[in-house]
Amino acid sequence: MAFKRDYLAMVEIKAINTLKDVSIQLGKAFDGFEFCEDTSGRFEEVPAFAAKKGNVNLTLFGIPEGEESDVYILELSCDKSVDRGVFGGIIGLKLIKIIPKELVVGDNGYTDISSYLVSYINSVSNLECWIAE
Amino acid sequence: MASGLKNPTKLGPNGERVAFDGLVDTKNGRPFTGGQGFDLDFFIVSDELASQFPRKQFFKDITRLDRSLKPVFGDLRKALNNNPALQGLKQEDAVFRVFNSSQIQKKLGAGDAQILFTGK
Repeated sequence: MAFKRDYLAMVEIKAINTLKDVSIQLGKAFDGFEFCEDTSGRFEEVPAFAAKKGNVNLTLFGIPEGEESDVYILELSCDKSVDRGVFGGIIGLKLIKIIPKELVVGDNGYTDISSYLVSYINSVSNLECWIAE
Repeated sequence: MASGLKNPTKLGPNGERVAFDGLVDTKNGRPFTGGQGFDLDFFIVSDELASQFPRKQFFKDITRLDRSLKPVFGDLRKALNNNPALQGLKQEDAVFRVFNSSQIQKKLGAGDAQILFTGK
């Protein structure tokens, strides 16, 4: 039985374009992920665009009114644990290929793939991103 | 939301109104009938926990610090959604958002209604 992981990534994207523009660029980078503005109120005052494919969620968080920041946060999360094959089928071959098969599960229970997500986004888009710190 | 908490018989350690009386979904003092339903916003005030998130992350979901909390909050959602007093509650997992003390003060200053439970 394949080992299942709960993948998680948090990266910062330089906020030189609008949140919507960045969500459109991310939609082009992640095949099958269609970003829509979240109007459900789930993220309260934090503006967000969300995309979902299978059990994988991509959420682009913006900057709330009255706050100052020069970055947006992109979070990749899973609804439930998935095996590598399923995960790769969702996020795409180009990204799964750069994620090592043997990754340590963190103390928090997640498999952190932030650094690989950064490499991928920087290689397939004009966005500037780095690991959230 | 806070204006819907009317049962005076159950108070928190500092006199907070913590009980529901069956009418919790109000807006401007009147029952809320919006199609989206209503939600409950939970939060934890902790400088220590907040510091474990990326500094520029405004929405700090505590399950991102510990995966084992995910099923706990899933169960909480089921319990809340099965409560007849909470008809109209959105079908979504309860999220406990983390704030540091200055962030929560800022929201309070902006008129946010907060009910705080304290514990050691």
